[in-house]
Parts: sequence; structure tokens; C-alpha cells
Amino acid sequence: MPLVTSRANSPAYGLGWSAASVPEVEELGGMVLVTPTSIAYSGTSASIGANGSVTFNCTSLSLNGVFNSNYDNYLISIRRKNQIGDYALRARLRQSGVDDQTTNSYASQVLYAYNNANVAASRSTNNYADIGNADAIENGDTLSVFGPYLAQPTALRSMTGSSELGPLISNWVVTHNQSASYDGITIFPGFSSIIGLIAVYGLVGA
Amino acid sequence: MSKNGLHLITPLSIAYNGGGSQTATIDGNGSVVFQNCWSVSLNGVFSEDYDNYMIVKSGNISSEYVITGFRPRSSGVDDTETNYRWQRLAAVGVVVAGQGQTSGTTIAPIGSWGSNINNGDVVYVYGPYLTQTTALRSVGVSSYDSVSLWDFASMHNLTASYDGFTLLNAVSEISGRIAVYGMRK
Repeated sequence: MPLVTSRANSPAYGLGWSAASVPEVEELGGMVLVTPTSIAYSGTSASIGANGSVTFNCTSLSLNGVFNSNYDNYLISIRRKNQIGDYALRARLRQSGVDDQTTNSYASQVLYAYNNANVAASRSTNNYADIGNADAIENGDTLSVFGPYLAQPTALRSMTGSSELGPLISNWVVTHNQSASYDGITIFPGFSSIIGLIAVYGLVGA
Repeated sequence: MSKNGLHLITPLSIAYNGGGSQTATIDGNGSVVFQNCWSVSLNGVFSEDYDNYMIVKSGNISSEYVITGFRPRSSGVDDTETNYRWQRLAAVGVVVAGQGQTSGTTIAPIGSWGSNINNGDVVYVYGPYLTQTTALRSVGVSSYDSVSLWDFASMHNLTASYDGFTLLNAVSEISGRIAVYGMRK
């Protein structure tokens, strides 16, 4: 990787303005697939692949050690389907192998669009986060997680393409109100099992 | 051979202002950490190396419900003219609201932050360095009203090339971190 050196530049100075110098830094890849230090699951199976993603067929899946001091923010990509029925996907943050189930600590807001002109929104508070819809055919989620390892409240933003109500756009946002540090996450359906693959990426520098 | 698809870009320089207690620094990886700023400008983050970019920003604001805005800049100078159009889609509780501005605004909104620390946006910027109009799409989470969803689509309608941008808001101080990634083409 080539070194990116600082170049002469003269930012504008004016009343109340300040400018900072640029350190020499090496050009970096922006997203790093994080391998869990361990996983735990209930159900049929789950395993960590060679690159660090996890395939699963289970009623809950916990990824330990995916959040750490290297990154503030993360991107999680999930492809999945429910074994039966249309049940939402839920999540909890965890630390040292223990999920945070503090009462009403997760506030979830959803915005849906389906069946041509239907748009709806709703909100809930629970001891878990709602992060996606699902059905018994393939669904996909892209989940941004802001600040889980920092000792501050965490925010999550999920975009789901779901087969429920064939097809469904669902956008979820979650705020978790505990000022605690978390090193992992658990995902689980409202009912039944989920089958698929999950990958957690640390965003370099973010 | 597989290649990195996303590159964290270090600004050539930054500039920032605020009410007196503002700070901003470029950290070792190239992201920018800022405190109590009215605006933060990142120079030299857009270049011929990439057409499209992903910006990740997180933090908080000193007042509730404040829009964070974007202005492209070239050689250290923002476009402050009425060259922006935008569309917003928000969900707050059961209320879904859209709002659009088809002309006459001086910023592109790219997020709406609350006063708690847990706000975040992913902003996609399409073609800022190319001599064409620039498009933006922002998806975010806000701590406003405990939790709320704010999405923006914006257009900057000048056919010009920009090498940086300013993150700003009109009424409050913002603190957080921002990182700019080039998307390999």
C-alpha cells in the first residue's frame, strides 16, 4: 500500500476559524471483516467460516468479541430466512457472553413500505431491539451499529429487504439507552428458527 | 485478485469553527473527531480516484432536533448559494412525514440529530469530483424523541467539481466523528 503524504495546502483562516495539520498515514482498506472470538447458539447449527462470517440454522445466535476498541462503528450484513412464518428479527447487545436484557432499554422505530402505496410506522420499547422483518423465503439486512464498544448509548440503523408481504421495504432504527460497553451481539427471531449467514465489518477510522 | 472495495480517505487538511470551545483533529486512521463545532470542513477527500463515496458520521448535538447539512467545496471554498434541492422522509412514532424543497436552499440536509450521543448516519455521495451535478442519499438514526428515523435525498445542481465538503448546522454545536470512504470503481 502506498504512503499518502501530506501536501501543501492553505486552508482559509478567518475570525473564529482554526485549521489542523495532516499526519502522514498509510492508505487503509475501509472495512474489515471481524471474526468472532467465539459464538454460542441454540438450535441446529452455527459455525464460523474461514473468512470470519457465520452460517447458522438456529433459534438464537450470539457473536462474541466482534466489537472492540479498534472501531467505533460497524456494518453487519445478514442474509436469512425463517424456518416457518413471518416473524421479526430481534437483537440484543452483549458483554462477556451476557446479553443486556434491561427492561425497556431498547427503543425501536420502524418505517414500512409494501403493497404499492402502503406506508406505515410504529414504535416499541422492549428488552430487545427489532431490526428486521422476515418470511420463509430469502431476506436481507444491512445493519449499521454506532458506538457499541464505547461506554455510551448505542444506535442501530437497519435496512431490510423482506419477502414478508411480498416484498417489503422496512427501515428500522434503534436506540439503546445504557451507557455501557458491549463486545458482541445476539440475533434471534420472534419465533421459530432462522437460517442464513451473518458478517460483521468494522469500519476503519469510524 | 480481490481488492479492497472501500478506502478510508485522509483529508489533506481540515478547517472548523465554533463558539470558542471547538476542536477538531484528524486521527491516525484518517477520520476526523470534532467537538463543539458549528462546522467542520474536510478538504481533499474527493478526487479522481473515485466516483462515489460513503461517509459515516456519528455523534450528538447540543440542542434537540437539529439538521446536519452538507455543502461541497472546492479549494477550500464552500458553495453557499441556493443550488440545493432535497427530499426528506421521517418516521417519529406512528407519524410518517415527507418534506421536499425543490429550489432555493443553501445546504443539503444529511441527518437530523438529537441531544443524546447515539445518532448516526451513512451518507452516499455520487459524483462530487466529476464535473456534473452531485447526488446524495443519507440514511440515519436519531435520538430525537428517544428514537426516530430520518432519510434524505439531496441534489446539488451545479455542474462543477468539488474536492471536499463542509458538515454544518444552523443553530447548534455538533460533536462526533466523521469518516470518508472512497468506493473503488
